[in-house]
Order: sequence, then C-alpha cells, then structure tokens
Amino acid sequence: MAPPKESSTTIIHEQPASGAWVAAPYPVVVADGSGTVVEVNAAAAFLMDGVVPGAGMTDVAPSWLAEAHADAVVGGAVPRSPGEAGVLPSVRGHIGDHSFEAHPSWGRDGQVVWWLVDDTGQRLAEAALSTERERATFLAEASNVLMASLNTERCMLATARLAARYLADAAVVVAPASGRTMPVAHAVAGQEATRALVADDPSLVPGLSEALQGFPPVPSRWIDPVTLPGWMLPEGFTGPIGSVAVTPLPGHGVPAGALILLRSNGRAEFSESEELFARQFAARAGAALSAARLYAEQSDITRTLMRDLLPPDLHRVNGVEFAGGYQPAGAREPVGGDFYDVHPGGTESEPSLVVLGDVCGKGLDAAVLTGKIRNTVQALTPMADDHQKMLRLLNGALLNSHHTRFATLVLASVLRTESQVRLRLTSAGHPAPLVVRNDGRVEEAATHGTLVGALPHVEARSVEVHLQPGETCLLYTDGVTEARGGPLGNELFGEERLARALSGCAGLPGAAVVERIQMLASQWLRDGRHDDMALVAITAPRTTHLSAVNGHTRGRYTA
Amino acid sequence: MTALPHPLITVAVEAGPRTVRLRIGGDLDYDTSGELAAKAEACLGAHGPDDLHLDCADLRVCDSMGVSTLLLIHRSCAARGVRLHLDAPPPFLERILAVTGIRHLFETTAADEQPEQAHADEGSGPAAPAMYGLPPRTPSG
Amino acid sequence: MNTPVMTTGTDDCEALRDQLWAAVTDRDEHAAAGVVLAALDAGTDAETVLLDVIAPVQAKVGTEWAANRLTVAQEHAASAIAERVIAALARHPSTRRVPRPGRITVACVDKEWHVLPARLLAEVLTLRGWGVDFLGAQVPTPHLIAHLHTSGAETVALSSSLCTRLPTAHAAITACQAVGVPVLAGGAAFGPDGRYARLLGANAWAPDARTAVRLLADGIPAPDLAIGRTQVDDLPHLADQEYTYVARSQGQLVREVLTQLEQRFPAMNAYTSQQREHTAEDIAHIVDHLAVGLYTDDDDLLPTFLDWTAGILTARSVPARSILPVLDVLAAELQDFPRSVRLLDHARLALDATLASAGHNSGAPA
Repeated sequence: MAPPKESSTTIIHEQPASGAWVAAPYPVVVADGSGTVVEVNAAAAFLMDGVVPGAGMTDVAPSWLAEAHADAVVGGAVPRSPGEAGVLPSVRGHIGDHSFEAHPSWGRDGQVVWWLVDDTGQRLAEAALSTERERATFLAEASNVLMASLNTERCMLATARLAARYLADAAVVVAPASGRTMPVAHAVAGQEATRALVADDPSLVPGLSEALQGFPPVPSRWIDPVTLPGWMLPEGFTGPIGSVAVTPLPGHGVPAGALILLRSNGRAEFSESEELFARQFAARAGAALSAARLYAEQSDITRTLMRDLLPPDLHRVNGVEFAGGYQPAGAREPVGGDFYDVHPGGTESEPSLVVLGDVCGKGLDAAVLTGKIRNTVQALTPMADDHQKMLRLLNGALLNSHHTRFATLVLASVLRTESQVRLRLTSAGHPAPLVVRNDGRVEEAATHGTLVGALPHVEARSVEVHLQPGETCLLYTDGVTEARGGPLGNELFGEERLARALSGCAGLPGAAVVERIQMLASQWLRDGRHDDMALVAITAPRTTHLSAVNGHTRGRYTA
Repeated sequence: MTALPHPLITVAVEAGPRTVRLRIGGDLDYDTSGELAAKAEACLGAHGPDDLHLDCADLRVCDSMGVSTLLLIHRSCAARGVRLHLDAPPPFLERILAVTGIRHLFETTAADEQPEQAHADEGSGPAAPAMYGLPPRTPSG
Repeated sequence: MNTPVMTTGTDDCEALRDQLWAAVTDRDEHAAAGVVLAALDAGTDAETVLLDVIAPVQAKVGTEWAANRLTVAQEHAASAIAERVIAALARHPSTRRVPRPGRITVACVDKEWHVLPARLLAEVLTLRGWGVDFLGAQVPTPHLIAHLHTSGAETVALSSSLCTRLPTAHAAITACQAVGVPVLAGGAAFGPDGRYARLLGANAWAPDARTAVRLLADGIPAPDLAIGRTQVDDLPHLADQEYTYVARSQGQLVREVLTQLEQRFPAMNAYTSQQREHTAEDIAHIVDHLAVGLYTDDDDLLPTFLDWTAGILTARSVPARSILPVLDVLAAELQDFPRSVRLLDHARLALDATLASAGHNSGAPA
C-alpha cells in the first residue's frame, strides 16, 4: 500500500479531474498498485456495496474486475507521464443482472482508474439480433426444403425434421384424418423422420383437435405433458417430456394439419417469442403442405380422367401382331389429339378392327373429342365389316352446329387367313397407310375419303391388302411426316423419308418397326417442338407359331 | 389480345361489288384461326356478297384448326348461298385438301395449275435402297 | 428336367448366350423365349439370366452392328425380341419374390431410346422385391418430376446411353434433386468411369445393374435442399456461352461445313440427295459431340466418338480420313471460340495418331 502522505498530495494535485468523475454518470473506481480502492464515485458506490476507499479490490469488487485490476498493475506498462495514453485492455463482466464494460486508464503513481459502462441493453440487442439472423436463415432454408416437393408425405417428413432440429427436441406433424386414420410424421433432432398412420381420437391430445380445425394455438404452459398419448412420442426420444407446444399448420383456407413440438425435461419451456417463431415456421410448412395436397388431389383427378384417354398397350390378337407407339406433343400433357385402338374380333374367324386417328385442335378440347370418337367407334364395332356405314354413323354422332372440329382417321379390319393377313383399309381424310413388303418395297394403300365430324355427308373408298408373313402395314398420323428438323435444322421429315425408313424395316417385327420409325422421327426432331405422333403396325407374323410370348398372356411355349 | 410486333397472320379485306376478297398471309393455325373466322363472318354479314374469295398466295402454314376454320367459313357461306373460292392455294394446302377429302368444297378460280400434283408425287413404287447414316450412339466398352 | 440345376456356372451361361444369340440373330422370338424359359425351368436364377445371358447378348448386338456384321434391321429386331423375352421371364413362376419396402423410379432421359439397360435394372430390382416404377425410354423431364411428386419414390435411377443426351440428363438430375430425390446415374453416356455422372452432380453412379442394385440397397442420401443449387453451379465454364452458341447454330454449322466440303471435293457434287443427307447427318453428329464436349469441358469426349466413328467407317470400307476435313472446317468456322478450337485441335491430333497407327488410307469424305 502506498504511503497515505503521498496519496493525500496526489488527491490535492488531481482535484479538478477527480471532481469531474465524481459527478460522472458512469461508475468510477480508482485502485492502486497493491489492489486497494483509493476512490469511488457515487455511481460506483451505489452499484457495488462495500467498495469504499481502503477496501481491497479482491474483497469487495466482482472477481472479474479484481482480476483485471491485478493483471493491469502487474503486467501493464506504467506510463512515464500522466498524460500518456494507457495501453490497458478493457474487460467485460456482470454485476448483478447487468453487464458492464470496464475501461481502465492510468492514474497517478501506478493507480488505475476503472470506468464502468453498462452495456446490458446493447448485449441484449446483440443477442436478439443474432437469434433473429439464425431464425431468418432457418426460415429461408426451411422454405427451400419445403417448397421443393409437391409430395405430401415428403413435405410432412421435412416439416417434422426441420422442426425437431431447430425448434424443439422432437416434433410430430399430424395431418387431418383421411378416413379413420391420421397420417403422422415423427422426428427426433438429428435423426431421420419416420411416418405412421394413427387411429386415435385427436381430441385426447390437448389443443390438437383445435389446431386441426384451425383454431388459435393453445399456449404451451396449459398443456400437461403427462396427458400425451403414447403414439405421440417418437421412437428414439428418451426421457420425460418437459414441455409441449401445439401449433396449427394453416393451409389455403383449410388447416393442413398440426405441428407438435416436444422438449425434454431439462430444457427451458417454450418462451412467447419461441412460440411466435414456431408459428412463422408453421405458416410456411402449412402453405407447402396444402400446395402438395392440392397437387395430389388435382393429379388424382387428372389421372382418373386421363386413364381412358391414354393409348392402349397393343399385343398379338388372333394370330396378328399389333404394335403401337404414341408421343404426345406437349411434354406436360400425357394425352393429345392422336389416338388408336385395336378391337379384337370375337373369334379367330372374325376380323379385328383397328382405328387410328387425329382430331383437330389440341389440349383438353382435343382429348375430350378423342374420347368421344373412341367410345363411338367402340359402340359401332358390331358393324365393323362395313366401314362406310361406320363412318357415316360416326360422322352423324360428331356433327355439331356450333363448330367444325373434325377428325381424320383410318379404319383397318384385320383377319388372319392361313399364314397371310387380310386387311381392309379405309381412310377418312387421313394419310393413307403404308405397306412394307419383304423385299423392301413400300406401297401406299389406295384409299381416301372425307374427314368426319364437320360435313353433312362423307364418302370413303376402301381397299383390300394382303400381307405375307413378315410384312407390315403402318398406320400413322401426320405428326410423323410433319416433324421439322434434320441435320440442317428446318426440313420436314416428309412422306418420302418415312417411306425410305420403312423400306429399311422390311421383315422386322411390328414393335421394331414402330420403335425404328419413332426413333428416326425423334432423331430428326432433335430438340424441336412437334405435334402428336401416333403409329400402329399391323404385322403378319414370320413364323406360323401362335406365340404365347406376347407380353400379355402368361403362357408357356411347348416345343 | 396483345398485339405482337410481327403478326402471325394478316388478313386484308378487299370488298368490291358482290365480291369480297380476303388476302391471308402468314400462319393459319391454332392461335390465329379465330381471327380469320371472325373477319370472314363480319364480311359476310356486312357486305352480303355473292362470292367470297380467300386468297392463299401468301399463306405459309395451315394446321388442323386452320382446316377447321376453312370448313366453318364454308358452312357459313353455304347457309347464305355465297360461293366460296380458294385462290392460289400453295401446294401444301392443296395436299391437305386432297388428303382430307374436302377439295371439292371450294371453287378455284386462279393459279391452280397442278390440282392433284402433290398426291401424284407420293410414289408407291420401290423405295430407293437404304443408305446408311450413322445413328448417333455412344461407343460401348 | 429331373435334376434341377441350382447354380449356373460360367460354361452354362456361355451355352445359354450362344443359344440366345442364334435365336436373336435368326429373328426367332419364339426360340429366344424358349431358351430363357427352359433355363428358368432348369433352376437358373432369373437375375443370372437377365444379367449374364440377355444383357451380354444385347451388348454383342451393338458391337456386331458396329463391325458391320449385323444390319440395323437385325439390331432392331434383336431389341424387340429382348423386350418380349424379358416380359416372358417376368411372368415365370420362379421369379416371384417377397416385396421389400422402398420405391425406385427407373427412367431413360428424354430422347434416349436405348431402353434395355434401364429395363434390365427395373427387372432385377423387381426380382429383389423393390417397388419399381419403370417409366421407359424417352421420358420428358416434366413427366419424370410429376411422377416423383405423386409416387414419392425414394431414388431415381436415370439411364442414358448417348453422350449427346448429357445436357438433358443434367437438367433431369438437377430437377430430381430440386424436389429432394437423389439420382443414381447409369449407362454408357456417363463414361466408362462415371466421370460425367460426377461432373453433372449425380448422387451416385453405377457401371452395371448389379452395382446399381447394391448402391440402392445401401441407400443413397437425399440431396441437401437447403442450399438451392442450380445447373450452372456445377459447370462454371458454361458462362462463356460457347456451348450455347454451337448448340444453337448447329444446322447453320452443318450447312457451312457441307458447302465447304463440296468446294474442296468436287466428287461430292455427284452425290444423290440421300448421300448428301447422310453426310450432313454424320457432320451433325460431330457437331453434337463437339457441343457436349463444350458442355462438359472434356477433352476426351470428341476424340472418343471420332475414334469409334473411324472404326465404323473402316468396317464399311469408308476411309476414316474423311473426318479430318470436317474438323478443319469446323475449327476455321469457330476460330473465335477458344474452347471449341482447343477441343477440335485435341480431337484432330488424337485422330491423326489413330489413323497413323492403323495405317488408314486417305480418301474422299463419306
């Protein structure tokens, strides 16, 4: 301890400065090289009990301040003159509930003057800001994840996983019941989410049935964890639950489900700000879930409607090989304006009826007209032997005073006789079928007629064609010949190229003919747009076996 | 409808005594056929002609909706007793009319030098021997 | 058969392959099915039949076509027969399996019609009890994604044989990953060592069906959606727009090369329109591969294709030297594009070396 005499001299000498900090709003403590408090202003005395001149810093000051003082007087370089800037480091610590920054500066004779600045508000603001930043980052990430999938199960799993990772120790997503069961997704922080179907009464979980009906969330402090049913606890979640929060997942107008957050016993309960944040997350998850649900409902409806519009798989019927290929114009539309069907003859001595056609227009309108034509032709199959009559009746059924949407089509009655196949072909305003002979010759069937559905009277001329074993008759729509592209970029595929390509398919099975033509047209197109393309190959089988290997019947071949 | 910088279709109307002529240029397809139908209907209503000429010299494309529109105009003309003419149909249009079996619905007055020419082209004789072009593939192995 | 054979040795497989090869090249679908069904009756494992009999026979079809020992028609007939045979195999009573959990979508990229590798994988997965959605050849990416949304498949197995489909495959891979579904890439397009699968960011790559099945069984981790990756992130070199330019002006480039070749080789003036078109197609394939070389920024892609093409031409008595002037004209046309020039120079050197070592004769273009 410094001698009192010297000390009193100092006080007199420093009186003006001392007076300044005595009145300062900041707490100020002066202590000497031996750790004894020399002076204290009123603010400091109010802040720290027992900090009075003469007391030891280690006895009365908070430990962090006392240690900083000891470090300063031992390690700090004492300035040669009082005006020289100190090089002492500031320190931080708590006094009571408040946080302080302590800024040291050199006083006289190796004394250190500690200015204490209360930075509690700043610290809280910083902490809040960092929480907000984390939350914003999390919400952005969560949005990326949640908006990625339109699959409801995937969305539920992602919601549970994200919530468990960031908002709680474990999370449960409950979707509104479909039938008697509720789809549920469970997740424990750091683990993969799992899904389950639960048949239970949601009203047994406090707040759950309210959340599923879209009522405001029940504050978590009202929910007693003991009342939770067993299915609520995810597998792998150990230890008793300390707190529970139930948040509705708001959808587009209807609730998309509920999010249940679980925390284990040791952790703090959900604060108001955390519950608010959970609701922000739930809003995003709910929007994603209801978009996924809407998509699933829409695609279910579309699938149901489209099922009958899709072209059928073709196979061998009554000793004749049929193969079909269809590429719709739009990558987004599985159906379009081209169609084909094979209506098998009732017995081997009755001809099968093939119809391939193209309706004008595109999109749903065309698909609906297509469906109407296919149904009408199906109903007219009893008179399949009279193509002219069929076309007249079909034309009558399609005529409409409001518009002139029409269809062009080819009818083919197909009958196997001995090893040959006999065809009767009728074109109603459609490109005539092509026949490829075994020697590579390609012939166009001499049939032509009027399109159907737009004119009061239609006419058509039929032609009879015979196929030897291995020969194929190809029915096609103009999407094939109108394909635009080629190595130079802007040429039509055209009839001539089609005939040439077909010539190279002499003797091939029907499926290979269809595949090859589709492949050539597709290559021709490169990445260009195209119209619907439909192909049907009618082939007289090369062998006389009635093959059981037609990909349709589960048959066994016995030699 | 939004006006495009380059219209896909142009329909110029020349109305004379007893005769209306529509000059069609560009693409007659799914997106544009409504415009032609509306113009034709308006002309039939306003002028009450004996003859309606559709000048197709500058027509570049005609898809199935285009054909449907020609049929609609034909129906409208037939109901009013108006003769419908297709003038200077390009070969591709001739071919479409021939295949769909509706050539006879339209009177032709000019520039119809090769009526069934397109049809005669599609030879059914022996195709040329197939040359090979290399199918694009990836070397295997 | 009185004594069922429970295991099938290499020799047995070889015998079966020979029988199937004979039936396939004879275009006898009936005999081909007979070979396969008889093998199953005799106790041969269906997976062995698929992967050690049918798959090698199909591979042989490709190499025999390249060597000009099979016609295009025979090749198509062979794949049509393989399809039927596989369908027959799938219905054989011995192929019933206990279902296991898990759903895989198997698809070919858009404009990819080589369906058989994907079909074989789909069948093997089915045999192992997986739920399989086989979408077939030429699956437009929007269809694939729509399917993933509704089916909830855990992984997509994506097949491509043509390396010209790599840009499309890349779009499909990123689209699948963007909806949170990992992609296993397979097929010749991705390179013999899978380098293009890695380059395009596929989550896994398999050189064959057996590896694919093993990787799928081990589980392929889902992509991290939080990052929000895009296609260009994988391939920063695309920023120079060279790929875009060459791909866009493909028709124009082909026309230009054709015109200049005609000036250099007067014999071409006597070409029929079909010969001209085939020459144009061959040039178009070279430009396509140059474009994909630019897309992947890979020096080896174009030389590998040209090397293969040289073999095809030689097998058909067309001088392989005819490729050289095409490269020269392209290099002159694209002189302002440094990466194109680099790839074409590299390809020319490689082709020169091949021709020198094989002692090819010089000649006019194909």
